[in-house]
Amino acid sequence: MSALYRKELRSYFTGPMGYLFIIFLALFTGIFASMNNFGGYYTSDIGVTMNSMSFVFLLVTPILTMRVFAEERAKKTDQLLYSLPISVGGIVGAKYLAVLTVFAVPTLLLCVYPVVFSFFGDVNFVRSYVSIAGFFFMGCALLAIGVFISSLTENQVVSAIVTFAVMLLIFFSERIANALPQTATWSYFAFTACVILIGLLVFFLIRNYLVALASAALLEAALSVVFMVKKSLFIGLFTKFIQTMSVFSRYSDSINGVINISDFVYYVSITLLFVFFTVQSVEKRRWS
Amino acid sequence: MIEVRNLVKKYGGFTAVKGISFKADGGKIYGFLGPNGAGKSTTMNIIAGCLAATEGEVLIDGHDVYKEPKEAKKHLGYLPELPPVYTDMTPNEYLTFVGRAKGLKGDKLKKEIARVSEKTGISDVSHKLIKFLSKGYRQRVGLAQAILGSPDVIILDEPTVGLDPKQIIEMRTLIRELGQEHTVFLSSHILSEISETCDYVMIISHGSLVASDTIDNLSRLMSGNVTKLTAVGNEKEITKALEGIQGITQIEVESRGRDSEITFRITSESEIKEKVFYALADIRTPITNITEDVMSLEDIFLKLTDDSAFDSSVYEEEKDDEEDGGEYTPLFTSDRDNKDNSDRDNKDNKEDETDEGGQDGEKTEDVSDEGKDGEVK
Repeated sequence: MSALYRKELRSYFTGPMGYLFIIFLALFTGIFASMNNFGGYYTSDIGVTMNSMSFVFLLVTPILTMRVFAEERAKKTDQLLYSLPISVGGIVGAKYLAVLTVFAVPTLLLCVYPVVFSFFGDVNFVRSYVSIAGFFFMGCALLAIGVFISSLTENQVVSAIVTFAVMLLIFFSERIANALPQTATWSYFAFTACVILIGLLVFFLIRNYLVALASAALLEAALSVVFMVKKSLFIGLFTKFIQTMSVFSRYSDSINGVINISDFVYYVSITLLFVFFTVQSVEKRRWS
Repeated sequence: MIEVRNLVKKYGGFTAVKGISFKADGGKIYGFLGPNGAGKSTTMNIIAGCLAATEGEVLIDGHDVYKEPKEAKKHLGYLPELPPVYTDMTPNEYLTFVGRAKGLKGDKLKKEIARVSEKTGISDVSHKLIKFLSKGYRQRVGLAQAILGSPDVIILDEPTVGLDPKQIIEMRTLIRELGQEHTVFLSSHILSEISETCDYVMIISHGSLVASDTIDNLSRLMSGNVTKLTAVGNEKEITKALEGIQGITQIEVESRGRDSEITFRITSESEIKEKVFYALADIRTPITNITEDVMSLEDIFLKLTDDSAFDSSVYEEEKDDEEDGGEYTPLFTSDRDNKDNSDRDNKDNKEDETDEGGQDGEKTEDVSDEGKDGEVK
């Protein structure tokens, strides 16, 4: 596993992708910091900069994750990985850790900013570093989603575009949800759409439409029962659900220096869930 | 050592591999032969752990590829159809990565890389990026990767595709060298390659193993122990002398040449050349030519993989055997009934075109052989 990790890390820095990613993030941090902290707000709070930074993930996640599995599949080098004494979990783990390591470089650069700010005024270090930690953990979750998407295709361009679309959807999910009608029936149909999506996801992961259909039917039945019994519960529920689930809305807590354990638990859960999905998706390749 | 038990691979409704079983021992080269789409690559992919089988199991040195993948894959080197090389690395870096993944470290790793680079002839290019290497060199780098760490089992999927004639010869020499210490599996649809390099042939057709034996055995069994004898003498006397030999089941006169030269076609249960020699020596009849009528690998291959010459009952019987005994029994070795069946089927379907052609070929060969004999005498 460590051999693969080293190889992955190396490949980021022999090609342009690793540098591109780091420069991109560092550049935008610099721009936003000089705009917000040194100009504009005149504040020593890096949270303001972090807030502006969140949209950067829309672009950098596809850059960093598109090649992870898609490239191996396109060049048939995945066959080498399967024939080596590394487990599928090890393969996914090594690749994901390499992605995180590349992501850690610009995050560490960010850690310098509060120190620089402290030359110019008082800095609340705890608050600053909680902001940066929130930034890192959110990145972990989004990158896990990107890695998973890369494992679904052998075309890097497709992987990048889909990842970008998903990031965009996640980024605007809250605003979209707010714009939706708040009636109970609307919520019900929105959840039904989610159930169908879950069913499709299950189908793509295990290629068994009986199981996919059964799980979707079960969820839909449960949903319908709750809807029949307590319709009032559904008023505005979908919007609330999206607000709770939104990766970016949770970010605002930590940006403001609020240590909210549930947010971190949420990010870690999303990360683990998508790493698990990736393992399943790679494993499934061998079965189909 | 490698053991494959009742391997089945289904893609949706299509069955690519239909219950392949075999056992392979060390120090031999096994050739997988089959037409395109017969299931060679699928079978190799399954053995190497790149694909999961729908049914059946693969044991490498006693370790199941699915249940103990790490242990099993330590004893395995695999070169897929396309060499799985990272083009942004140099061969040295690439082999370092593979070596580390195989658990080699430090000096041992360096020595091992030097050894395989030397063996595959890539030492000269070890610091060039793989993307600048030609197809032949990439293939060699792929092979170097497979033999790194001296695994017991080496699987090579069409290793000579894309190589120039000189490289092909080098590759074959290398494979033969490897076969001395390792169990080597080699797939190809080039018959001469298999007959030159392999000790043992497995012919796959439509996802089933239709034959597996040494080339010599296959040739003999497929042609049904037919000996061609040309002698100068009295037909009745010779026939009488031949009838006295044990094991002969049928004697036919194939042709009568000039100067009372007669060619017989003798079907027997075992090898009879020596007995025939002494029998004819007793009646003082000179033998001008005696050959076993063997089939070339081409003939065997065409016979076994030709759809029209197929009788499914042969396979049914074979499968039953496997299920009952649970052990691998090579087709065409022990079970004479099977062989006779397939022979008959083949004749039914193909006698008109192939057999005659074959005989003509034999005749010309005989003549040329005679000429040589004459010169020697």
